[in-house]
Amino acid sequence: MTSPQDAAGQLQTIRMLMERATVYRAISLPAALLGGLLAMPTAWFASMGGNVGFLTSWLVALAVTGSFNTWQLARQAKRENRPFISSGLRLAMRALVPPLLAGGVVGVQLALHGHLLVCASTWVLCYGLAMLASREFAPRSIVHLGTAFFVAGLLAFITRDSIPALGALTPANALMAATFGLLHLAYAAAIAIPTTRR
Amino acid sequence: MIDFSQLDPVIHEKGRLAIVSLLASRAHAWPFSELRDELGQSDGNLITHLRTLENAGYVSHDKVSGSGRPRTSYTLTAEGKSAFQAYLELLAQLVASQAPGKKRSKV
Repeated sequence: MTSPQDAAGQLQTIRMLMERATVYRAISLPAALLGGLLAMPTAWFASMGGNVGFLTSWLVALAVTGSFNTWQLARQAKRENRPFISSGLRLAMRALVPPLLAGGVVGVQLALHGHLLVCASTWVLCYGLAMLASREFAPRSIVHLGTAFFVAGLLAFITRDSIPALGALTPANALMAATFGLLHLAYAAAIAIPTTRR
Repeated sequence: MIDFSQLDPVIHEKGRLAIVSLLASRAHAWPFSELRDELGQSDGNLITHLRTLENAGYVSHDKVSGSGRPRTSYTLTAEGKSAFQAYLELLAQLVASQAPGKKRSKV
C-alpha cells in the first residue's frame, strides 16, 4: 500500500539521490573564505620578491587552501555518511584537472621567465575554464564564479599593459588579489545565503 | 481514482529504486564500483538488484577488459527510462491527488 505521504517521501528520496549524483560542489564555503582572505597578504608578500618569490608565495597559498578544501570536503562527506572518493568527486576531478594542470604548468614556466602578469592572467583564465568545465554538475554559484574568472582572465590578457599597481602590489599581484581574493569572497558570501542549488 | 497496482514492483523496491535513480541521473554509464560506493550497498546486494533490473529489461551492462581488471558499467535502457518516467508520474499523481485544495487527478 502506498499512501500520498509514502509517495512524497519516495519522490524526495529520488530527488536527493539524483541531485547528489549530479550536483557536486568542489569548493567549500570555508575554503573559499580562507582562499579569499589569504590572497590579500599573499599578494603583499609576493610583491616583495622576484619571480621565485611570486611563485613561492602563490604556490604556498594554493597548497594551504587546497589542503584545507580537501579536509573540508572529507569532513562534509563523513558528516553526510558518504564516501569521500564519491562519483561526484571523480566527475569533478575529470573536469577540473586538465585546465588546472595546463594553467599551472604554463603559468610556472611564464613566471620563471619573468612574465608575471601573463602568468597571473593564465592562472585566472584556466581557473575559470576549470570551473566552467564542471558546469554540467556544479551548482550555479560555481558556474558564476567560473564565468567571472574566465572574463577577468580574458580582460587581463587584453588590457595587461594598462593594469595598474595598487599601492605596494605589483600589477600581477593586484590581479591575483582582485580575482582569487575578491571573487572567492563574493562566492563565499553568495553561498552563505541558503537557497536551492546555489 | 489512482490504481496503486500500477506502481512497478521492479522499481518500487527501495534498493532498486535507488539504483534506477542514479542511473537516470546521468547520460553515461555508471561503473559498478561507483554505484556501490554511492549507494553503500554490498556487492552481493547490488548484483542481485542489478540482475533483477536486467531481467526486466530496464538495465544493460557493458564489460570493458583493458590492461587492468575488467570493469562493468551499467546504463538504463530505453525501456528502463520509460518505466522510471511512468513510475515518477504515478507518484506525482498520488501526491497531487491528496494535496489540499486540489481536485483528484484522473488516471
